Amino acid sequence: MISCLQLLAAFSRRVRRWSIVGVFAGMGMASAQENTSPLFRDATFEELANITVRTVSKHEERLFLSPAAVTVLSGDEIIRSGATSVSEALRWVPGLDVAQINAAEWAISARGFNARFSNKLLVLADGRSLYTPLFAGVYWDMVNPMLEDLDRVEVVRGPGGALWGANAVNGVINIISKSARETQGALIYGGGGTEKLVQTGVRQGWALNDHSWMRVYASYHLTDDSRWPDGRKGHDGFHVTQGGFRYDTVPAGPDRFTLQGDVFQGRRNQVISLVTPGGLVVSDRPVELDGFNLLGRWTRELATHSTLTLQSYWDHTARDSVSLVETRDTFDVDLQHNLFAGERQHFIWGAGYRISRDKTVAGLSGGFVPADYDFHLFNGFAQDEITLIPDRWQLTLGSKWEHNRYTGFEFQPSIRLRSTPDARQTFWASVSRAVRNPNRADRAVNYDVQYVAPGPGVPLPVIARAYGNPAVEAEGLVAWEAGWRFQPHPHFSADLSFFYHDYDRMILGLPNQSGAFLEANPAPLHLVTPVILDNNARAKSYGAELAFVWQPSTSIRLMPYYSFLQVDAALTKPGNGSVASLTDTAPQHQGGLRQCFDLPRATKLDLNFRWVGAVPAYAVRPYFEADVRVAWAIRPGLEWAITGQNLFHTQHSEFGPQTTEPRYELQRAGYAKLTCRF
Amino acid sequence: MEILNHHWPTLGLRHRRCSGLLLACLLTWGNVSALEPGPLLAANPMAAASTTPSEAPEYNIKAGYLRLFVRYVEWPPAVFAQATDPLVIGVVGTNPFGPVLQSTLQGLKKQNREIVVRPVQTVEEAVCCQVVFIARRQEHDEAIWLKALRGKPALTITESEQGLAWGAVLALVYEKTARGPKVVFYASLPAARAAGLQLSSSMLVSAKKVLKERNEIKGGS
Repeated sequence: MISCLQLLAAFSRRVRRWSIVGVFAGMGMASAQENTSPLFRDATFEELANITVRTVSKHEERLFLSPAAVTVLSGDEIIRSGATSVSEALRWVPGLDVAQINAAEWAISARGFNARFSNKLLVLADGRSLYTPLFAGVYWDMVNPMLEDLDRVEVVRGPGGALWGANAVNGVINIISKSARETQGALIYGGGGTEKLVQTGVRQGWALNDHSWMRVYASYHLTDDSRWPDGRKGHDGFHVTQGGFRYDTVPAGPDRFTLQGDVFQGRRNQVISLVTPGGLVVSDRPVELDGFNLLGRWTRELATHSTLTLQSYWDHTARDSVSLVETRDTFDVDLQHNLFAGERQHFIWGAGYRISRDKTVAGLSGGFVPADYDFHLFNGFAQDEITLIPDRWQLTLGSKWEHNRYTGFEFQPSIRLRSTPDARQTFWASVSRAVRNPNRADRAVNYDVQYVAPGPGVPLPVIARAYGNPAVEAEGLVAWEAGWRFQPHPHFSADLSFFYHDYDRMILGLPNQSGAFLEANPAPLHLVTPVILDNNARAKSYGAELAFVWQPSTSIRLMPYYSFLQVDAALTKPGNGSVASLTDTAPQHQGGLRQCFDLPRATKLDLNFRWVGAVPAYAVRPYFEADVRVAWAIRPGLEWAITGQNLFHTQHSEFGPQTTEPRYELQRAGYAKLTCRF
Repeated sequence: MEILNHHWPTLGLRHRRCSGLLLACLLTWGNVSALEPGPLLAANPMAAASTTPSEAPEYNIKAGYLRLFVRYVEWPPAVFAQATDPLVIGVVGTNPFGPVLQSTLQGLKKQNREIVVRPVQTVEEAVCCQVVFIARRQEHDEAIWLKALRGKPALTITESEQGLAWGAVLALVYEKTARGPKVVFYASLPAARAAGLQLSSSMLVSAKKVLKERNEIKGGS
């Protein structure tokens, strides 16, 4: 078993995420340490003060002190929000643009540029990157961890800094599950309702011995169709079955291991129009999705204040839809070394390699050329956290170097300064450069996106075809950020962040009218207008994310928030195209109010309101929505909850079609759920 | 000066070991001009070499501190309704110690009272505890817990300097050193005074920082 673990336990994207925000809260790995370790019954104060804390990763920092725009949703907050998936829970993170497209798909981004495949966001699950290099976006219908076993979801808005992996341009979402030690015993939940038709899951956790723990889980979720604007069924019902395990061991000595994996299979119905020379072809073939992953992590304490972590994973996903078939295998290995150098310096460096191999099969409207591709990514990073004045000023210098097969070396430095003039406020400011590597679509897509039927003045059918461009370069961002957190009173705190982002070489498709050509195969004869993807635009954005917490008592928590975003863009190359797909894809204003009440008789009430501004590019009108959840603990370990979602409208639209798919609207929903732990 | 009226069994012992200045600081409470634990720390005879391991998990060390705090802090007798009542340590929210705290406290008695560790979910439960530990994970409402416990005879312990600013009596915090991170503690004299607690001088001499007036953290190395 150990040799198997050592083989698999190569690894560390997660560890490197520990650092920028310090790693809030997580008791997981820490508490997993203790049972085999020394007890101090006779030590003096001085002896205790001289013991080095093992596990540098546990060098946690309070959220209040993190020098970045960070929000953390705890596992408990996620459950209390009434969310049934991670994407639903993200709605309540200030500054994120979260729009549900249909029953299973989501458009999620931070600080603008939202799309079905928002390509400037890094999403990780326990250190495993979730974005597909095909579009550099996330298939949110494939992200279905058991929410009860989540420790927390950390969201960093803005470039993640030197420590985060590729694609961390506008933000990082880090989904972190609990250690197996923290999920002992059985958990069963079951429920259903008007839209979330069936939700069931079971988990069993146990101790293998006094230093090893294991859990296995399985879940099945069935979601009803959403609606088309005319009220008819959207034929987009979705079901997914997922199972998995996690094994954690903390043997006596300097090593720790984690091995975890998931396997899932799902199906989403859809009715989609495909562009062909003969006209739009309507298909109702469902999207089939499946996948599995296996991740190992090995951490060793090298010296009293130095930790080495090796992490590796293998991730297989397959999506089969009428528009495209994609099969992908990703292997990733990462190393991180974490050390305290002297009293005032905390140094982290690391390196990693990833290969992501895809095979695609084109659909009726086209696909990728070449159809198969191996994407290699090497990266290295180093960061030094320097205490300038203890407890007052801290400077973080870092950089990331990436080498990818498309654009070669990319250099991404960052500098962060934090000031804590007193215990009740933190100021921070940063300047960082981040890069989005071109994805497969930017380089190699060959897909028909629009059809114009012949008619008066149009003798032939006209097709707009998106072409990837092998010469495309990485998008660059220089981000200027500043923030202020303060707690003037025990009952009130505020977290304000401000940013100015300057993007260059933004990738945007522009129609090339003069390049139009006739094509006879496939018949009938038609005119093709190429839309070439290239570094065609420049953009600037600025905005603010303001979050407040007012807690009249430990049992009442009110959290108003507001975010503002302005994106301006301009073409940098001649052409007649619109930059609306850059500037108008996220709401300018968003706000909300989360309210948590712990009522007598073990009753919990959550009232969450959100207001989302217009999204002109997708013809989304402003909307105001509410979710409500009431939960009763019938007895310890048995909880009964009723949740209402999107209560203010019979149906409403949060996002629009990006190509020839239909527009979907979400209905008011309600569901009941019983959760039993024993 | 109510503390002077209390029986203070540990004080006699400290007389021999601590400087007169320290004792004066301790007994005078507020308006103390200079309390410099740094140099005194080095001179403290309790800092003897021993077989203590050079490294350990964070919460094993912190459990060791809690055991010492129970030994070196004196509660007003009125907090115990009966002579046989146990001394209760409440841990707010998720217990980060696991079983370590219980194991570390094994065999310890405080004036013949049993020591009991209890999870705490509500302020009412916390008020019944003589020690209240507020873990890092409770960051979001730490200040409220501390406000609710202000003036109650509870030894409040947090894991941050911020907690001390909000009225905790003690804080267990990280200190970066050339040999890696250590756990040290800070103490707040005004908070101890408000709670009616007596922190022994030999404990205070080991504190890395001592808050002498409200809303102000001074001293340290």
